[in-house]
Amino acid sequence: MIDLKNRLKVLRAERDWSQAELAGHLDVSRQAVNAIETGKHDPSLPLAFKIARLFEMTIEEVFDDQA
Amino acid sequence: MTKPEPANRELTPAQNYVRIILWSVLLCVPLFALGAMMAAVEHISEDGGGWVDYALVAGGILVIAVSVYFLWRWLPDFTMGEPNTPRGNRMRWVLVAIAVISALITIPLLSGGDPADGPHPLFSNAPVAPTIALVTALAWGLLMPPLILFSRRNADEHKLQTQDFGMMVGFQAFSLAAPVWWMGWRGGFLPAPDVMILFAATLAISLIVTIWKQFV
Repeated sequence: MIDLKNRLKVLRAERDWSQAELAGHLDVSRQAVNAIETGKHDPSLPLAFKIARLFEMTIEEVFDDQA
Repeated sequence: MTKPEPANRELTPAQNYVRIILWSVLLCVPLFALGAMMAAVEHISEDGGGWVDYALVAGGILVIAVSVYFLWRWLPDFTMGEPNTPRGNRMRWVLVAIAVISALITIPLLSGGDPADGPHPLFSNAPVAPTIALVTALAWGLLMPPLILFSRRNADEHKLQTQDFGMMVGFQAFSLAAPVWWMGWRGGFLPAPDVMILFAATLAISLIVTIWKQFV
């Protein structure tokens, strides 16, 4: 199983957003954001695209499967 | 008078849960006061009542007024830290619908159960009146499927994944327990399998695993 790392927590902190605020932007629950940030949940491809677009980045800039 | 802004935005989720529990306890106060007042009014209308009945009515009005004020003043944030999105609001309505369906099932069973069958008519296989059986069966059988469908369409992918995992573990537990119990019964060393015990255990295991996956 690939260990997927992500920069979601850092990107969120840079914008001074709470988990709930980020969850609101993505239309998911706060638990979903928390689970992605802590690596307990790997987002689906549509949600990964949505996250990348929200931060105006590519998916590879947010998520890293090589770490 | 304008509705106050929820003053608990800074509360942690755990503190918010505690606040909702305390608020729910406070909600019982006017309900009990209303019950006492109704009994007192009944006494007064039957035989004129005594000073105690009049005191109960006056005290009841005061208690209800004060508690309703504090219920409004201390209104918790029912979003529980979740974003206030249309999808989130629809999922909170699912919780309200589950509470209503549970009430539709438990209240007739509790009020219509025969005391001779024991103190727990909900957890009994004793016969019930056909009307009660029909109401509770229809409440479960007709209302739950559209609610489950609505919930599945509005849950986010993390919730769906945790629910699916919980249901998978619940079903695995059922598929182990049911045949073992059945064969034990056929072998004569266990009582007859009880479908409702298996159902309740499956549901409990599914819920516990779902909550564990979702929050821990």
